[in-house]
Amino acid sequence: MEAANRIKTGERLLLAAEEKVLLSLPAGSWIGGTIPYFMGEHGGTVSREAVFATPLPSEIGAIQIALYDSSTLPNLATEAPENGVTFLILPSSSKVHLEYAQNAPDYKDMFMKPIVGWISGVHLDDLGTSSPKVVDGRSVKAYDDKAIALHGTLPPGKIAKLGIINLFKQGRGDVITFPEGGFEVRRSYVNGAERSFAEYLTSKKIDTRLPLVADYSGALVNVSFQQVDAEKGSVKLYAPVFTGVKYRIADPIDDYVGAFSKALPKGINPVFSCNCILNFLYSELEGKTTQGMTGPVTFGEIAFQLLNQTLVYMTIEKG
Amino acid sequence: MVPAINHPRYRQLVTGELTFQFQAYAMSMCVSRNIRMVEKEGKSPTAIKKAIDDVYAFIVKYESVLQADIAAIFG
Repeated sequence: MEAANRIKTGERLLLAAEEKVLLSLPAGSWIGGTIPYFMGEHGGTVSREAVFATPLPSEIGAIQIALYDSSTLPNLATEAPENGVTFLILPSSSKVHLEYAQNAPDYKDMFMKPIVGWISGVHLDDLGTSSPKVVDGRSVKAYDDKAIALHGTLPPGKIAKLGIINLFKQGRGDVITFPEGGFEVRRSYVNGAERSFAEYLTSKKIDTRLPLVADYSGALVNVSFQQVDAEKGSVKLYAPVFTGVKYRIADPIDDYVGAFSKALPKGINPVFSCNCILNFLYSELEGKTTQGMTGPVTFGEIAFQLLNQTLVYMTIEKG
Repeated sequence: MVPAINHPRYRQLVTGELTFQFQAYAMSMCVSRNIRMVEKEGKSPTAIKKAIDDVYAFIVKYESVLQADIAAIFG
């Protein structure tokens, strides 16, 4: 297998594949996460046998691989090199996933040290029967309750720069805020008036394939809907909402691939990217390409903090 | 050249008195996080100082890739 040979030659890799495939690989300088969905050179692919390998950029020097649990994860950025990049993979729905989603924006040194990565998942047919995992390539051991990080150093004069492509824009509808943050919400303020969020979504017949969108000083950040339970009055989300942030439901996108082509920055050379499973499904990306932005299709994306329904990429720039 | 930390625009930035749509994703996230923190702390002098220190350190470190955003803030 190509991935196995690359590992044996000492190549340093970020890997995505089904769990049994990752666990069949030799030990080496790699970290992995479970997922069978990919955006490859020939387009969106679902494969239980393939491995998607992202080689570390050649500019990266020394590396350190580390496992984190929910108590040590807040140290992630302080343990990252002063100049470098941290690749991070978290298992979906794990304690570390929830910890990172809720608290990463406030971690010491967050935003001072580039952190990029993704949330591992499973084939959608296996939801509820298999658990998402990360794999430590040093030992070829899988974890469903830990985060795996690869800290890489960069030489002076080189900087890791993170970018996002979020095709969703804030709609012109209601401004929504939340009195409590979290992955599950009940109460909301709609244009300042308190309202059950589930009742609001149901009565307005909101298409919940469209995410909530917040504007973070020019960065549009999504929160995707998982489940609306009008009877229980609860709304489950794929990322937490935060207090003090104004959200709007996104405008719909008619042609994802066309919109993506227009949004793609020109002249960049991404060394890593990942895209959201919800984009893959809702925009029917199987067999379609995203022009050089290849990588795993994930249960969440990381560009410093957790993102939803977004393409994340990284470039190495002159510093 | 990054303007000195006592430039009044830093305070206006972290208190949300002036708002910007930044080009660099990391700049957007760093500034937004600090604006929320200052708001949450009731715009206390301690919070504002902490936010300015954070944003200044970020801009100094990544000056080379933030030229457009620095120009947007400081002219």
